[in-house]
Amino acid sequence: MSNNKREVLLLFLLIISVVILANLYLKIPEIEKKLIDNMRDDSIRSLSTTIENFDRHLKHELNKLPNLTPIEAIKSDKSLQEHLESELNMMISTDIIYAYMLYRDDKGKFRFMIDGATEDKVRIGRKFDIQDDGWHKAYEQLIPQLIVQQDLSELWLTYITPVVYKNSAIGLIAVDLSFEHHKQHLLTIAPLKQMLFLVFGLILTIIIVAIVQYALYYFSQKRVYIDGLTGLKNRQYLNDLLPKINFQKYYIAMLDIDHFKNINDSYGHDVGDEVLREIATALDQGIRTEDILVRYGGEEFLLFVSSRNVSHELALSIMERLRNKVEVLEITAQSMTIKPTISIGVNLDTFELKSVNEAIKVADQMLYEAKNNGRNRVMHYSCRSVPLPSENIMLNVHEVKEAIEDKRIFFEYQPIIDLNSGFVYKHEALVRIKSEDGKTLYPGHFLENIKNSQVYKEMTLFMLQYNSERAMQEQLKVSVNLNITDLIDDDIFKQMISVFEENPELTQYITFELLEEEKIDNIDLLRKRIDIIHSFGGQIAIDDFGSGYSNFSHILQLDVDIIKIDGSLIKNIDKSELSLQLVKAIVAFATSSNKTVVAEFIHTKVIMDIVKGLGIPYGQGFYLGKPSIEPMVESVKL
Amino acid sequence: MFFKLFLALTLISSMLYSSETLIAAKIVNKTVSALFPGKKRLKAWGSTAYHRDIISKTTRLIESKTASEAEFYLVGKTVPMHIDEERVIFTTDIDLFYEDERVIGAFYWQKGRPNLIFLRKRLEAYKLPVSSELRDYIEDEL
Repeated sequence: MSNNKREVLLLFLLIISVVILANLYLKIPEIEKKLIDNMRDDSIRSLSTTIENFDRHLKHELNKLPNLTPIEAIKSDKSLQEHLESELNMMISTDIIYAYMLYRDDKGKFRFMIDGATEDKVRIGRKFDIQDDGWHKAYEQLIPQLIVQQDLSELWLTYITPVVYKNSAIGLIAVDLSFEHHKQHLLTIAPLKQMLFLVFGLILTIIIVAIVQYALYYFSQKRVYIDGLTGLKNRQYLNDLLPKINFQKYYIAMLDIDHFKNINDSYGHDVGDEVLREIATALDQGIRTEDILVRYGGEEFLLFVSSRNVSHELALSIMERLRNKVEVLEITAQSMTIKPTISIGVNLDTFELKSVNEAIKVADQMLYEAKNNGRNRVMHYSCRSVPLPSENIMLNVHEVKEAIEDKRIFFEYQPIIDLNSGFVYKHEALVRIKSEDGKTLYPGHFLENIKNSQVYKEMTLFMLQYNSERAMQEQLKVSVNLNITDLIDDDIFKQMISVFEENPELTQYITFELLEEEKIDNIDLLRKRIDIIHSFGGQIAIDDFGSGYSNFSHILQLDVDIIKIDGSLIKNIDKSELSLQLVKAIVAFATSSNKTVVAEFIHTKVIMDIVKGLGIPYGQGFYLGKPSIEPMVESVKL
Repeated sequence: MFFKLFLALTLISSMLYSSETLIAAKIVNKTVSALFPGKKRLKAWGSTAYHRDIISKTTRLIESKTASEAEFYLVGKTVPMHIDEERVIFTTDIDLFYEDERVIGAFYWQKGRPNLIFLRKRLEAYKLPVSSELRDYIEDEL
């Protein structure tokens, strides 16, 4: 269930709960009234029989005096008066405080006929003021009336019964129920009322706690998902979002601030942060609500543009607009105006890819292209322009990037041995990744998949920095592996040079081992850069010579210092005459061109002896020393 | 729990007392308005604290400092000796109204209800108007 659906359901449940609760709350007075009404009716029912007896008796007595009016009859017969008074008096109890009979005179005033009180008995004929029309109604309509007293402190109810004699009312029997009686009712139902209020309070408390909990959860989730610096959604948000969305319905763009490292180095991190904030704001303002922009890490942003009703052309124009929004920014810092730019790589054909990580990698590759083509531009992927990434992978770009950020990149060092003395000549630094479950992953598990991506560059820069620092600190001679085209990359080359500039003595410790590729586009630039490295005193080795795309012409043109003969030739040198001849030719070539030779993959003593016999001065392989985290210091017994 | 109940009942009782005094004040006010339509405020004298309390709660009566300067007397079971015969006396005791001819009217509680009574000839003796508002409460004879 998506977050939105869950929130709607919770809101619905909340509304239902509030409605039920409000209904319950409103029902409490109704329940109370019903209970009191029932108690009242019980009281009235118990009175009825007594009143009926009184009524019957009165009429019986009046029948005996047919020539007198009822009031005359009562006034004339003292014993009858007393008898009727005592009958009314029998009704009086703690609940019924007054019982009396009234008659209405010819002016419509009610007057006492019989009073059941034992003390302060009201004389016959005394006026009785009424405050309610119910009295007249009972008298005229001959219907009993129940009056609920509102303002009288002593009385709760008055029950009035007309006495009908010869088809007309001759008086009203009135019975007043005390307010004390009503208070007893209230006290009786008080526990029930309290219980209802308790239930109400309990449910209300539960709802409030639930709301508070949800609010806390909501805000903490929000905090977890928001990048503190830019206010954009962060990587964690992306990780949680990706499984829930169909990435194929989005165009994916990777955006990177050009020369951001320079901004940080030149103006400091505070200014760098300000630039990040300003650019993030500009980008955020340039997208629609249905698009998703996240800070992917460092100066990189990832943008998912909903492809619904958005053509490729429109998507590209959005990207161009974003690029332009950044280009026109002028950020003032330290009295200087910074005019940042961004490069954008876009994947427009995400539907062709099986996973979002592949789709992101394509966008990253396009970003790499944008960077290599001069920056401050948008490069996009179409299914014909770029080959799809290999499926034979273990770690994707996303995972490698996480490994870099989580500092799970580490190095093992394999010794290169002087075959004459057995001493350690130097070490080759071999990059490894510690997987999240603690396993050691080798370049074969991730290198191919990050090739031509920003992540590859990040890893290379990290490798240079880490090994330079370690070489300096431990005076460790170390070979660092690079792709030959890394030298063409401005950022990487700048990093290499800056390392030498900052620590000139480092040149005696660091060797750059270059691995050839199928295609070297800019051999002239490559040669120039190698010359620059040489000018600092740095050394260049060519790795895996004799395999793949290596050729003598490259070596001649590039003027490398060390040739490392590929393991595929060395490992069979004892069995393959062809391998032996090739190695001999390489050694002859290296000797004549004054280059140092290293034989790789020496895994047995036999191989070592042959290599030594060929005059190769240095060797590397499991027989001589396996890669380990701590560099080997002891010499090897040959 | 019992303490709370006691407090609640005490509060209710005091409210009821003040409610009864207020009802009495309202009725006395109404009576004074009907009997003295030309006077906005009338100096009144109360024989007990209860009667003075009623006077203080009316809008038409103002308590006089001395009995002699009062124009309206509100009394209980008896009429104090120093009150002249000519003064308008109003009681809260029905028996006094029946017994003392100087008393022009009474407000009293009967069967838990407020009641008001006047005698026509006494009103006429004091030249007090027989207002339509009081008609239901005026008796021709006792």
